[in-house]
Amino acid sequence: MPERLFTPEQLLEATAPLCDEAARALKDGNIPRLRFLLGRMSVGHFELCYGYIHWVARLAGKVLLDCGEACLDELLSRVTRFIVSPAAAGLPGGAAGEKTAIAGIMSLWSMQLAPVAFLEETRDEVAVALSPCGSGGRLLLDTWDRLAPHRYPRTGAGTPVFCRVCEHFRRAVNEAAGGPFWRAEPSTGRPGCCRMVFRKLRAHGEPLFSGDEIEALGIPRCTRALKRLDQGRTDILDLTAGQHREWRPLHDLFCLFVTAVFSWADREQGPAYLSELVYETYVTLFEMPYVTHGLMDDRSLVCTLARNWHYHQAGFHVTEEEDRFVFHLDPCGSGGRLNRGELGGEGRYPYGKGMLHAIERPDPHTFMRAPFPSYCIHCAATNRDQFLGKPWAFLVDGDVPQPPAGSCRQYLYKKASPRLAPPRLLEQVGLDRAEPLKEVYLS
Amino acid sequence: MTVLLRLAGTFLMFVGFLSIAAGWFLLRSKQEELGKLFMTTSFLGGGEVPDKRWVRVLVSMHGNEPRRRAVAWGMISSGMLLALFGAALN
Repeated sequence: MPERLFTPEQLLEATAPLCDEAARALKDGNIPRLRFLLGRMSVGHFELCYGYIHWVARLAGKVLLDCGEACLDELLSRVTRFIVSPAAAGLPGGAAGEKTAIAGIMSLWSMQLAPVAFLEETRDEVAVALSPCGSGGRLLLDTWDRLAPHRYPRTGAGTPVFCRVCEHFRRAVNEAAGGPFWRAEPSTGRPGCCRMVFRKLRAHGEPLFSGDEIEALGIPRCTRALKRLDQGRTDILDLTAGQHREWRPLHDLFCLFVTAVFSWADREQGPAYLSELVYETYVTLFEMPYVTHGLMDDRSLVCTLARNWHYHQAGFHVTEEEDRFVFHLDPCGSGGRLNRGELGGEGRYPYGKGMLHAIERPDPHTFMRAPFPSYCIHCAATNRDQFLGKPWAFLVDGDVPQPPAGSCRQYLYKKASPRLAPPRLLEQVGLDRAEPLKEVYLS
Repeated sequence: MTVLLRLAGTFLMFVGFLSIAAGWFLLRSKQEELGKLFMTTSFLGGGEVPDKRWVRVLVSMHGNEPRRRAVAWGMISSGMLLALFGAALN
């Protein structure tokens, strides 16, 4: 059996959020260490952000290739309206609502790990430059449409599939605004770059943003904290505290999109298609994490996973057992918060209403439970995949969450632990034994 | 033999130049850039209690400016020595 790696105090420290370490460095006056941590925090969500961007593109891409452009457009129209309407309904009226909407939309792009530059505010418009856009633009620059056109197709008009999703979001927002509020102008000469323009429909020529607000708009908190340090200031606790929650609006938007598409697939395409959808769009994304799992030691794996859970918006604590680490999620930051009606704003997107659907039949993708929240099937899918010869880096215990607001338990097995799967975990995903680890994943 | 020596010399010069370039990059880097780099090279680990020795060397520079500069100058110096030795073999 593998050795114990941490005392309980060491484990608590190793799995604390980065902002806590930053606060300690600030308190100790260790500015170089603080700067290092700010650098880490500024990209703390990069795996999740890129993971979700790829997942959204793959979902839309699969629907486009399997069901056709008309079907994709109809689906995206419904999904985006479903997501945008409650958010728009919560905005104040008039110019204040416009300002909040513009700031909110820009905050989604500022969290995409690419520069957002405020261009100008005129009497009629606010213009912003994405150089490049961190989502669709990034996929374009990485040439995914050419590397894997079966996963990242273009529409008949040549629009990359992720950009088609964005188009529909703009349409849904404009519908809610009652006019042509938001448009995007992709750069013809610079692939991946876009100019976003917001038309002031209600501000009647009045300026919406002050100089300080423009400064804050589109600039992430870590960047602002580093700027303050450059100016010799150390009053940055307001920017670092809870920094892992900064990207929550974008995180929640991605979750809602995935859940709505899964719900649609289950209801209108059938369980077999849903199974194919989750496998081809999500399970295959885990190949890269399995490779890096092979390159990392157990301590680093725990720390990396803990950081990802913080940035995944979870509330959790970690315990160490002889053969594994247990992440007690209360709640899981995506499915758990969705189950509790916390995702996207308190009570805005409850399961069972609109496009969020619980699956009514038990099968290996629902941990043999019913009703089961549609978003959470991806965990059952990766459980099954891991038992079929992949590293046990992320096994979820399907018995633990008691709907609608249950906590979850996720296991990270130590590398030296014998490959003995708890029988109940196997039964949950319709298996009776686990396959040995495939040679390609051996470190 | 002469050809082998020239090959070895060229290889050492190449390694030397790489070491100088890496050392120069490290010397010019800010701590926040090291932070971003550490995160995006996932295989180096998301935490700072790694098992691998060479990762511990990298981790020792995090938040430690004197150590970072010393390692950078060390890489530049050893790169220059390697390159000179390689040139001599040539």
